Amino acid sequence: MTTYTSSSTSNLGGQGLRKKSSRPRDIFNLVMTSLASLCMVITLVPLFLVIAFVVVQGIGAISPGLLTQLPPPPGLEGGGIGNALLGTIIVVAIATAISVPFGVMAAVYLSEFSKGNALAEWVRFFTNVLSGVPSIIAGVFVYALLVVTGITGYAAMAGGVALAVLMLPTIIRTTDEALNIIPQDIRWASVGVGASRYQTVLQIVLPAAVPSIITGVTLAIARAAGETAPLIFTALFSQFWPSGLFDPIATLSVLVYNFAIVPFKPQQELAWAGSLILVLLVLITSITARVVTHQKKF
Amino acid sequence: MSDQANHQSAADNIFRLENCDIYYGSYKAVKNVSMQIPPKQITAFIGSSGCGKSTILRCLNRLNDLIEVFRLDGKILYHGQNLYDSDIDPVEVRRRIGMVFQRPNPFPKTIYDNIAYGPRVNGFRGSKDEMDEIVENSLKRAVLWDEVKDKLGDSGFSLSGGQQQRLCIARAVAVEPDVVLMDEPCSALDPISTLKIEELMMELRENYTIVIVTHNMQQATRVADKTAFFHVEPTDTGGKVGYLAEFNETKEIFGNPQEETTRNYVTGRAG
Repeated sequence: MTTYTSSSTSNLGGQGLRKKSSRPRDIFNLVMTSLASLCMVITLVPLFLVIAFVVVQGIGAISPGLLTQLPPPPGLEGGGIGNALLGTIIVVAIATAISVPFGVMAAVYLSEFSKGNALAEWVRFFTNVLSGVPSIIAGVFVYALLVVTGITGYAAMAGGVALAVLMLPTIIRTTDEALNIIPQDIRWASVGVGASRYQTVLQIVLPAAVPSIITGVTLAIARAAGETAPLIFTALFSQFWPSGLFDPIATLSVLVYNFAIVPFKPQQELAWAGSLILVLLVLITSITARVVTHQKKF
Repeated sequence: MSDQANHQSAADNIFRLENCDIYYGSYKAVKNVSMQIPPKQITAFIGSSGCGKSTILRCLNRLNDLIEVFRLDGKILYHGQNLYDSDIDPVEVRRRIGMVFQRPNPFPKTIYDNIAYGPRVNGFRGSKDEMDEIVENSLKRAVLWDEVKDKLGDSGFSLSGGQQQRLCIARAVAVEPDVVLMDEPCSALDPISTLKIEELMMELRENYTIVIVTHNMQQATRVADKTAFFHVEPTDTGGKVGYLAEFNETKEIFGNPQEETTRNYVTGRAG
């Protein structure tokens, strides 16, 4: 019976409540579920292939000195990527130190003090535009602003500023969203016991939003750590240990880019090892973000 | 001696509303409310949804300032001072006139810090012992101390709904207010918790002026000394506007209402 079934109780004894898997809507259900599952599997394939490929190629170059030694001169064996690992950490730390205060304060303005005025809407709009800008544009911008003008030259600082430009939109947007989720109730409660607007924001709203803000910051860091284009002509590269914030500095992503295209076998292996370390770094930060998100209060 | 004089006038009324019209943008929500609220008593606001009870309540501690489009015409005198004069500091107003909200809304902090927050933001500079004492006294006044004294470090969210609401009352009294406003404080609570809050209100009445908005008429008859009935009437433009229909002793409002609309409402014939 494929037509409408009356729900009178006289049907209960027969087919009334039983499954009828041959009905068109049940078949449609099954087909669509299978299709969705298939698409899910297909999209996961590239992710796992990339990780597997990097692991297989990189694992061979893992050696005791990988994380602590300098890369070898062309033609020689051994060595490591210690300077690039340290360099990535330094450059990302500079970028974080710049983008987090600016980003969080900007988001506080947008969410708490802008009162929905036109300026805030335009800032939100351009923040979204900025997050879609190709990363190499951020590199060119900082190249013109700091490198060409000689303010820093090729330097760790210039690389950090370029990454900060890339991190800002993510941090502003996630913080803005995190603050908007905090119920209006507790702002009113705070104001109701005689707190000022800023006391309310700093002592009630921001602390409640911290887990979400950390998630946003961590995701921004994970993205910035893997960027190559903005670093090629700002932080440049170095064969040596970092010597200062205003000198060129090695980073993992630029090391991979440089070493993958040279004809020397040891360098190519280091490029794979660098890729592996980079993937692990991004994976660890992303997982950290997930764990922190679970401590959300609202 | 001016203190003496202030106290004298406060004996008559703590709030005096004069011809208050309240607007949200161009929308007129409440018209022409005039009333006097006596000190150290419980005054209940009753009436159907949308008649402006909560709006009026929030005017009493300038919480409506947080709503962009809000505007008030008329005067609200508190101890003889117009709360809406340009030289009045709304932050100071809100410290003296505390508020308890419809849904329990503890801060995402420990029970201790929920209470300590108010004194701290108001410039408390005393010792840890003094703060401990404020926290203990506030929780005792809210009849919550015995239930939480062993877990002051737990999150405010770990408490039940009724306990959270009493925590919010303790938070409000911790800053030594003069008035406590309550916006349907029991509507999210079960009957047992509701009774506890009502007993608490009767105790707080000794020291504070309480103004409560409630949808529960039994609650108004149980706790309120005076009751104000708000109603809505259609406007020329087809909208609705709230107004104060009748304000009197609670037993008069429920036993011998002067207005037809009040009679219909308290006998359940009209919403």
